[in-house]
Amino acid sequence: MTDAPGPPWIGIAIGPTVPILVAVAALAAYGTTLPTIVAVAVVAAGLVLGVALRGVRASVARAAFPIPVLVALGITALAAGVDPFEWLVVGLSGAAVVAWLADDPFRSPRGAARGALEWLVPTLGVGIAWASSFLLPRSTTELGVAGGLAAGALVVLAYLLSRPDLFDQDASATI
Amino acid sequence: MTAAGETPPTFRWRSATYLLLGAGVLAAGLGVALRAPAPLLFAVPLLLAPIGAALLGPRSPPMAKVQWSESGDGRNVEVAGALTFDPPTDSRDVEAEFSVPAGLVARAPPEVVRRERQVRFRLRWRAPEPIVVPVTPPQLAWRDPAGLVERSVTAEFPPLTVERYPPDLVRVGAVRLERTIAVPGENLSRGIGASGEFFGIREATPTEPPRRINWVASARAGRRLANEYRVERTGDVILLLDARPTSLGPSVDEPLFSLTLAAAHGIADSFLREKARVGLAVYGEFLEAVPLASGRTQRLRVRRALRDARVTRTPGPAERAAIALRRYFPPGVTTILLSSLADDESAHLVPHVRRRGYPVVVLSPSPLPYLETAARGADAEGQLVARIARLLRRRRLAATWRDAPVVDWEEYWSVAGLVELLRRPGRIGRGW
Repeated sequence: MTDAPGPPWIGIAIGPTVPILVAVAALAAYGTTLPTIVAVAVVAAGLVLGVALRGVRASVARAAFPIPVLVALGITALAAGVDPFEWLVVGLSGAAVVAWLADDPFRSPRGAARGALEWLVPTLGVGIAWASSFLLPRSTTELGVAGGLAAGALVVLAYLLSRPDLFDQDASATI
Repeated sequence: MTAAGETPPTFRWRSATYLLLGAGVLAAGLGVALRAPAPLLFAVPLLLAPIGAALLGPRSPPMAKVQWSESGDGRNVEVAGALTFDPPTDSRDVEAEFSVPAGLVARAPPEVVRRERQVRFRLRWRAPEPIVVPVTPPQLAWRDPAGLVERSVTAEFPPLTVERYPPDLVRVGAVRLERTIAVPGENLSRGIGASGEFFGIREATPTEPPRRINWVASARAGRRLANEYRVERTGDVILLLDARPTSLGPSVDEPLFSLTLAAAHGIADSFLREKARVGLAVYGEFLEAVPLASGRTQRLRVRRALRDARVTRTPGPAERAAIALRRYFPPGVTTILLSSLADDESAHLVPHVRRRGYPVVVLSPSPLPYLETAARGADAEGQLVARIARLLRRRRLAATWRDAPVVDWEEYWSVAGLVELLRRPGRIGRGW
């Protein structure tokens, strides 16, 4: 387990979170009101530029690597259609960006799994915000959906409670 | 990420946090303005992620315990060390930034191996020239996996110094030096061998005669110790460093003075190892001196003085150095003057010191390699300047030889000329 040495190469910037980010971004692009080809081109350009900048060793370029991705996904968010599932995908694309940030190719090991708390909490936030906005029970059918979501949230909560090491990696502070 | 005595903030938001928050606020604002829920949902994870990052990791700045050492041989320098943390911290999140000390060149990128609670590192450098330089402690910081927040790691690094000087200097201590009276007014015994004044106690050799063994001290220490007598000791030496600026400018003065410090370290170590008395004088604008003494404490004094020595901005007159020397050192002590002799003013120091009664040997680090390196890529005019500089130096050294023997130190990894000169029979007390 040594720090990643070697020459700048775009290959090292493609970590396990990049396919997830690409998939979510593609779904988000597909549901926009923009022509599909334009939306896909915008998202592809942002992702390729962001991933490429991340593989560069120069610190100035590396500091700016999230900008193209945020701009591309921001455009898809602004041009999103009226489908609530499209809105959920857009929200999840933000969480995917956070997970991608944790997947630093210049740190070993990459921290997407280690920093799960950083993207799990925002993902949960998106889920709750989306559910509270569009799936509040207005009928018995929707009550079932809300119940399912509540049960899912409880499962996630139980998991987090059973894994205190996710929150408390070190001895607690005495102050 | 702290040095001793500083109290920087222990927790910092990094630039990625501001980027995410900025994008999140913008998206949320647009979502409200356009009455569109998608940008709002896009903003939620961007705004929550820094909070999640802040909750991750240690709640207080972890303290790093450091063990490091320097090894390597010749020009190769290798620094290896290990960091452990209290309270225990996931080492994978601790970032260490290493810097190469001035005068050294990196041979390979830093090798960092992370275990669960420990960071091991190995640094490989090369010393192009003799050098004595403290190793800069690495900058340590805890950083969350997404790089959103940073927390200081406090660490106390034991001082570590890279010392590389010409190997010939190890032999220079064996040179018999001019003996001088230890203290003004003190009369030394004329006795030979064990009848002389007591000097100290040392480890006994296997063939030590029983009369030389200090039985009381041996019984206390639990190992055989022997008496040592002053008459067995070699003499005294003064290292006089010329720290005045020259006409060559700081770009050449600084590396030359670094060489001078390295040589002074080596010479002082070598003579002190032989239990000779060593004095140090650094002359910039005024003379700063470490009076003659021997032993480990003197070694520390000399090292401290050399660590603090710098090329001064204002040069003092040569005569002042010679006058000040008499305040600290008795005349007649062999004096090794380390000076670049880069201009006439620095050359004037030699006759002044000699006329005050100090037999001088000059070890002169040559500035020519630096000048020739600068002229290597230059045009014909630049190369002509380098040739003229060589001729001028040759003339200056020849003029200095009238007052004292000079060793032209141009091959920096060898001072065989100085050792040879000091060993020359009939040198002592003859005024050259």
